[in-house]
Amino acid sequence: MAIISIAAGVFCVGTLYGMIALQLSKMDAAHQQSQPSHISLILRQAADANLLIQIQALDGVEAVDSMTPLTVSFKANQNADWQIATLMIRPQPNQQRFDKTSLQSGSWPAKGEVAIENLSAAFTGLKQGDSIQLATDTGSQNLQISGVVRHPFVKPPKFGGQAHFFIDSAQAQQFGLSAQQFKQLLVQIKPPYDSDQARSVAEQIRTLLAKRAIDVNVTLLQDPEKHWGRPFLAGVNGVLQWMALVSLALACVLILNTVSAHIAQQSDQIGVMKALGASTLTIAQVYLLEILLMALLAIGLALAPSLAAAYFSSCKILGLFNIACGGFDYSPLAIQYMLLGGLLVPLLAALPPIWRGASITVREAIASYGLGSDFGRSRFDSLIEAFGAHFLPTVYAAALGNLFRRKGRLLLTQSVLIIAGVMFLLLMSLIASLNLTLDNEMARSRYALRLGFTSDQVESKVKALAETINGTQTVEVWQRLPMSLAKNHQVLRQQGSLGAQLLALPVDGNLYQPLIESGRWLQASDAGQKVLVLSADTAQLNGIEVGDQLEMRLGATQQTWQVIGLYRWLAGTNYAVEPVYAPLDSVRQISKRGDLASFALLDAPINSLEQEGDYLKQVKQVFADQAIKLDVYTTQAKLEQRQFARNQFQSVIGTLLGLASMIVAVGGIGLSGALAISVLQRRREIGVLRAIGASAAAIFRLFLLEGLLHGLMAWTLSIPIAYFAAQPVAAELGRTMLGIKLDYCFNYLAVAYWLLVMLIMAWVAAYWPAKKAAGMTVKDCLV
Amino acid sequence: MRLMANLSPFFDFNMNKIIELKQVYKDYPQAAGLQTVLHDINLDIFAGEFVAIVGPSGNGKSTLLNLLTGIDYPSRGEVLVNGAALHQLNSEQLSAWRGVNLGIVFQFFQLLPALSLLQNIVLPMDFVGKLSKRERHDRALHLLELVGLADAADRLPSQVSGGQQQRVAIARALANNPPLIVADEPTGNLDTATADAVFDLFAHLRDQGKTLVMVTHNENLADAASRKLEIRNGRIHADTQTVVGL
Repeated sequence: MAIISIAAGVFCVGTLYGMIALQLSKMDAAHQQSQPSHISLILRQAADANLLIQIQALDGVEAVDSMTPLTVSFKANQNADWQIATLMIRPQPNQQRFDKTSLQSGSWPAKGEVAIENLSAAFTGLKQGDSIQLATDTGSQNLQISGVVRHPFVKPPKFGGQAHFFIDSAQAQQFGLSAQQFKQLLVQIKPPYDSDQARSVAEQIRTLLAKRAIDVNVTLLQDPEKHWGRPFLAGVNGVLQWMALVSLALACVLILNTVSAHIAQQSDQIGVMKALGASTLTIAQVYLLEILLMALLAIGLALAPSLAAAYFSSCKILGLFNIACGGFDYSPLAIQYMLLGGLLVPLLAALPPIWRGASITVREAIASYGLGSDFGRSRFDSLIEAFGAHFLPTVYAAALGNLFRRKGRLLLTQSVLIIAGVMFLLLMSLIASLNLTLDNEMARSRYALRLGFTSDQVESKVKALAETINGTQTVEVWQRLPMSLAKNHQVLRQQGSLGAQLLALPVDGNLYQPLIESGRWLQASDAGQKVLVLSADTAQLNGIEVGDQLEMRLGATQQTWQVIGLYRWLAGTNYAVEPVYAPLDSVRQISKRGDLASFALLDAPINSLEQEGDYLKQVKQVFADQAIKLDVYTTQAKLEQRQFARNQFQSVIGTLLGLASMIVAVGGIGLSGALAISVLQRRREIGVLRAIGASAAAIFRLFLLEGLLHGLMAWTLSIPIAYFAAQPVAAELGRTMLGIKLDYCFNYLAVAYWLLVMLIMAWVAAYWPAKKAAGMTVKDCLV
Repeated sequence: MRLMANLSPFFDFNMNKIIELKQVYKDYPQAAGLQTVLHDINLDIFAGEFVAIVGPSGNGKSTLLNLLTGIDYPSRGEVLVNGAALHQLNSEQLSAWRGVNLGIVFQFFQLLPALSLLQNIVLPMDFVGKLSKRERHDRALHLLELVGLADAADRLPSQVSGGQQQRVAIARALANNPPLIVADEPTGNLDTATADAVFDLFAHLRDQGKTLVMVTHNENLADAASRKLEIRNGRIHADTQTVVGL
C-alpha cells in the first residue's frame, strides 16, 4: 500500500510537471522558430510596399514584413454550404521574414492553387489534391489544394477559429489586390525586446499610417520568447500543479497511516530490539531505510509510465496549438521533482510515526495492556464524553469519543476532509459567481442581436432595414473607430491583448451599459462633450482615475478627452480588442465620417434560442439582399453568446469539478485509511465489545458512525472557513483562470450538496473498515 | 428472552449444572504438527459454585476459560453452558448469548476509554436492550455504588486508578445480571491493597449465589473459592472442594 501510494503521488508529479514543462518549452521553441513579429498591425485599408520603407526607417524598428489576410467564403463541394474562411496572401516560405509558415506536405500554391492550413485540414477533412470553391469580392473560382501549411498564429478550430487558406503573393491580383499591396504589417523592434518599447514603436507606426489615412483595426504585441498560447494554459496549468501537490499530499496521508499501522504491528519486535540494546536512533534508521527502499522502488515503478504520460499528454495539447510533437522527449526538471518529492515526502511523512514508534519503551512495547488510556487527559475529552453521555445513546457516545482519541490522526484526516469541503464550496461558489457574472452582463445587454458590418454602413439605411424585420422594437447604431490613447504623451498600456478601439454610441441609448466600477456611464448631457468611459483594468494599469484627462488620437486628430467612468471588462484571457466608450455625437464631430454605423443593436421580444435563430436568419437575409455583409466575429445573438460564454466556462468548470472530485477522493481514501488503521489498533476493544455482548451489527454501526461523525465534523468546520475564504479565492481564481473580475455570490445550496457528498463519501470510506471490524471474532481480537 | 429464543440448540440441562464439558480437546496447528493443548476435559460446574482455575502458565488455563466463554471453539467434544451448546453456536449467536448469560472480567480491565465509568456499565445493557434507558442508568449507578465508585460515575477510565477500573469492570460484568461470571487473572495487574478490594467484591458475589469461574495465580483468591481446579499439561490434574475461607 505504501509503495503504491508513493508511486501514485510520484506518477502524478512527474506526469503533470513533465507535461507542463514539455508543453511550454516546445511551444516556446516553435514560437521562436517561426521568427515571431513583435508588432502585428491589421489594417482596414490596403497599403503599398513604399510604406514598408518608411516604417523600416522609424526609430526603434529593426525589420518589417507584410502579408494580407482576406475574409472569404469557401465550399468544399458543390452541395456544401458556404463557410467563412481567411485567405492569407504571402510569398513562399523562404521569402517570409516573420511569423513564418512551413510547408507540411505538397507544394506552395502556384496559379490556380491554394494551400490549406494544417489545423484547418484536420478540422475540415480537406487534403492535398482536393478542390474548393473560393468566393471573394472579385468573384468565385475553383482552386486545387496544393499542399498543407502550418501557420504559427491561427486560432485552433476547436477554440472557435475558422479555416485558413494560403495563396502566393504573385496571385494576389486574382483577388483584387496587387502583389505590392498588403493589409497586415509585421514588425520586429530593435533588440532586446521590451513591451513598452514595442508599444511606443507601434504608436509611431499608427501615427504614420494615420497620416496616410490608413486605419488600424487590431494591434497585437507579442513577446518573441514566449508562445502566444501561454495565457490560455496558464490557469489550467496552475490547477494541474495544484493537483500534483494534492496527489503528493494524498501519498503523504496514506504513508503516514500505513507506517503508523506498520509500527503499531511491530511494537513487540521494537521492544525486543530495545531489550537487546538497540537505541531509538538505530531503530528509527532501520525503519527509515525501509521507507527509503520503498520510495526508491516506487520511483522506479512510476518513472517510465510518468515520462510516457507526460510526453503523450503534452503532444495532445501541442497538437491543439498546431505544434508538431517530435520524437520522445522528457523534462529533466520533472525527474528532479519526482526524485525530490518521491524521496523527501515519504521520509518526512514517515518520520513522526517512526520516531514515535522507535521511542517506545521496552515495557510499553512488550506489555499487553488493556484498551489504552489515550482519552480523557484533557478537559476537552471530558466535555466530549459529557456531551455524548447526555445526548447520545451509549454506542454513539463511544463513537464520538473514539473520534477524538487519536488527535494527531484526527487532525490529519480532518485537514484533508476540510480542505476537500472548503475546495468544493469554493469551486461551487466560483461556478455560481461565473453564472451570476454572466447573468448580470446579459441583463445589462438589453438587445437581442448585435450586428457588426464588414464595412461601415449609412445609419439611416441600417435603421430602415432593421425596422422592416418582423419583431424589431428598437434599433441603436454604434460606430467603431481605431484610435490610440496617451496620458502625458505616454501611450497607454492596455489589458486587451489586441489593443483598444473607440466605440461611439448614442448617449440616449439604453440597449447596453457595462458595469461601472467608478465614476458614471454616458448620459444625455454628454452629447458633444469629449468624455469617455475606460476599462478599469487599463485605468489601473496606467494609474488613471475618473476625472483624468487623456490625449486621444483619432485619425490624424489628437484631442484631450476626460475620463468620466471606469467599466469592468469581461474579455478575460481571450484575444479581444478593448472598447473605449464615447458619445457618438462627439466622435462624429471630430472624425467627420458622417452618420456611419459599424454596429447595429436590435431589440426584439425573444425568449428562446430557437426564436433567436429565426430572427437572426431574417436579419441576415434582409441585409444580404442589400449586399450588406455582416462580420462573422462581431455579429452576436445574445442568447447564443451566453451559450458560447457558458461553453467557454464549461472546460474551466469541468477542470474545477474534476479537481474537487479528486480532493473528495483524497479525503475518502484518507478517512478510509484512518478508520482501517483504527480497526487494527482497536482489535482488543472490538474483542471486548464482542465479549460483553456486542453484535457484529453493533460493531459495524460503531465504526460506520465514526466515519460519518468524521464527515459531519469536517462538513461543519468547512462551512465557516469556506464562507470567509470563498470571496477572495473565487476572485483570485476568476482572475487567474479566466482573467476576469467576478460578481461574487456564495453558493448556499452547495452547502447542502456537500453535506450529501460528505455523508456518502464517509459512508463509502467507512464501509470496509466497519465491515472488517464487524467480521472480527473475540478470538481474533483477544486470543 | 428474545435473544434466548434465538439460541439453539438447547439441551435438557440439570437445573444445578451450569457448565458441562464433555470429552473436550483443543488442538492448535504448529509448524511441527498439531499440538493438543487440552486433553479429554470432562467437567461439571454447578450453579453457585466459586471455581478457581489454577496451574502453571502455558498449561491450558486460559484456553479452558476461552472455551467456557465461547471465545474459542473446542476441536472436539461439547461445551454446554447455562443451557446453550456453545460449540454449535456461531460467532453472532455467541455474542448475543454472552450478553445475557455471562459477565467477563479481564486482567487489564478493558474499559472503553472514551466512555465514562457509568457509560461503560450501561453499554452491555444497551447491547442486550432489556431495560429502558432510565432503568439502565439507574442499574449502572446502583452497580457503581456496589463497587464503591458512585461518586466517580462521570469520570473516564484514564482518570481513575487500576484497582478502581477493575471494580468498574466487575460492575460491568454484572450489568445484565448474568448467572455466570468469568474472570481471567482479575488481580494480576493490581497491587496487593487494590487486589484485596477486588477480592472482597468477588466474595460478595459468591455470597449472593453467583457462579464464579476465575483463572488466578493469586493464592488468597484461589483459597477463597469453593472449588479449585488445577490444570497441568492440558488436563485436570486436581479437582478439590475447599473450605471457604473468606
